Amino acid sequence: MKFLARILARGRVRSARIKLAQDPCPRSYATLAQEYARSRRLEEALRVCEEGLKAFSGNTLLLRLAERTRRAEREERMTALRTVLAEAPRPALWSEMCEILIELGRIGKAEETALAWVVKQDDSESRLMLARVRYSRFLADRGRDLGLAALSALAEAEHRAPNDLRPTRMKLALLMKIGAWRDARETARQLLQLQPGAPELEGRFRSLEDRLGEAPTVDQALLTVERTGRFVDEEQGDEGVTRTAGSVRPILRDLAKDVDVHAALYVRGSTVLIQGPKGATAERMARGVRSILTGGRSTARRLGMGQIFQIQIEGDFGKLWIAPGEQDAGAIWSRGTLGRAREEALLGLAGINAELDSGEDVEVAA
Amino acid sequence: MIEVLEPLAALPGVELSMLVTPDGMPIAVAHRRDAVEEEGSSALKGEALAALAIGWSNELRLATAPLSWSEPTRAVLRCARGSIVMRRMRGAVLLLVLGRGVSPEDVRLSMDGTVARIERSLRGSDDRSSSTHATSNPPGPIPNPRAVEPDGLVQERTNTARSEGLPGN
Repeated sequence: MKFLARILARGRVRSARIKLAQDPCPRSYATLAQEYARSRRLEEALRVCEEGLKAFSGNTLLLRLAERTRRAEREERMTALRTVLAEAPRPALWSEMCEILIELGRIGKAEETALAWVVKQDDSESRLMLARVRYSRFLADRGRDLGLAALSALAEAEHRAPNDLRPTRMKLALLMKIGAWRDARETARQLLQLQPGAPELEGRFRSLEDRLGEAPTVDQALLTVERTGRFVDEEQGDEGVTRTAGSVRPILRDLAKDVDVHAALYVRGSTVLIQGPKGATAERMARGVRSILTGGRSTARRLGMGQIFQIQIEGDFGKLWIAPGEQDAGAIWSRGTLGRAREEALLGLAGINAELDSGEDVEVAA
Repeated sequence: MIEVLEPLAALPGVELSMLVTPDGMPIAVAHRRDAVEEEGSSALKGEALAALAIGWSNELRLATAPLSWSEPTRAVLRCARGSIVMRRMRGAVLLLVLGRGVSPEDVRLSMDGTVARIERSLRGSDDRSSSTHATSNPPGPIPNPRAVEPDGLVQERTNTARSEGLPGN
């Protein structure tokens, strides 16, 4: 099949190669890479992308294509691994399979694979992989139960290999992330016993000593992470600065100034700031966008797809883009495409968390 | 229909392509090749996905109707663990599930092409069925007075009883 695909694609690849020689632009590089990928010559596709990126550094099209090709390569390797694992499983293959699945973000499947490995060969390596997968899952979803599951898997891995530093280091990283300083200090002490005199560990131990005053328990720390969705080492954003509707209006005005933009909106809670339409039209528009946003959020939750980044709808009316933040959202209704500058402005609106205390449901930003 | 969806499912980053009726019933589903081997219960997942996605599509319709907007032709829901892209067509919705890091714009052209292909094939079958209806002259209790013959000519069937002036007519 692969061979046949190569033969069929030979002509297309040749003409893409000639086109690239005549006109070496990102689009020509992308076309050649796509032709290689279509004929399942993924290594060559990746090489073309890298060559293109050397010539046109940071080109979005080529970057995206390279990422997709790498992903396709990993998927191909996974298919091969699955066949070998069914015939003659070896620890190195289980481990590679789990690594690829973690890289692809398919944590659920990685956990299933690690569990299958534990069932087949209940050794320290399989337990460590299970702990790693659960740790990755906790990092992605940040739930309290997932955190507890990761800690229990790490404890089991430590128990299986008492002299192995890896599970203990992973446990220290997790405890530091959630801010459970007292337990983190205890783990650092354990690590120092295994690796006496390690300067990095000694430094960390000393810094943890200073933080013991306000240290929460593991359970409290996990609950805080679950509630806020943030680890302690993550930036707090602009929480200290209280934004008001006044700081949002100029952005909305800027977004709505182009002729192809019908409306620009900022939604927070039940209040909507709108630039463009007036009166009853503005009210209808605000209600519509709010309803689309609520529906999108609940659908994403029900589908288990995680946090929502963008909603986009198109039709005879034009295009509506919504960029939701955790508590607020920005939206543009326009005839044309969004474009880079507008997209950035829209993403900047989401997450501003401005205080809209006008008391009105819809406030027309004049 | 599945052979039309398979090339879409084979695109890098596409997890699943599906054709769904407007009331949320899957017509055809094509998974990425390795995904079928992995997920045993994909049929159930497909049904649930179709129902939820069409539910959202209906919500969009209801939300945009007061704005006098026509039903959206394309809808994208981009999330942390992937995206859902829906493209409305005549009598069905084409639905794609994309993996993480894949832009919905990357599949726009392929989706449009697939929709055009499906609509073309539907038009073809419509034409065929309408021509079949036109040429057939099924037997019935009352024969069609203006029956079309297979050669396309309309033959006037006169009421022989009346023309011959038989009694009782």
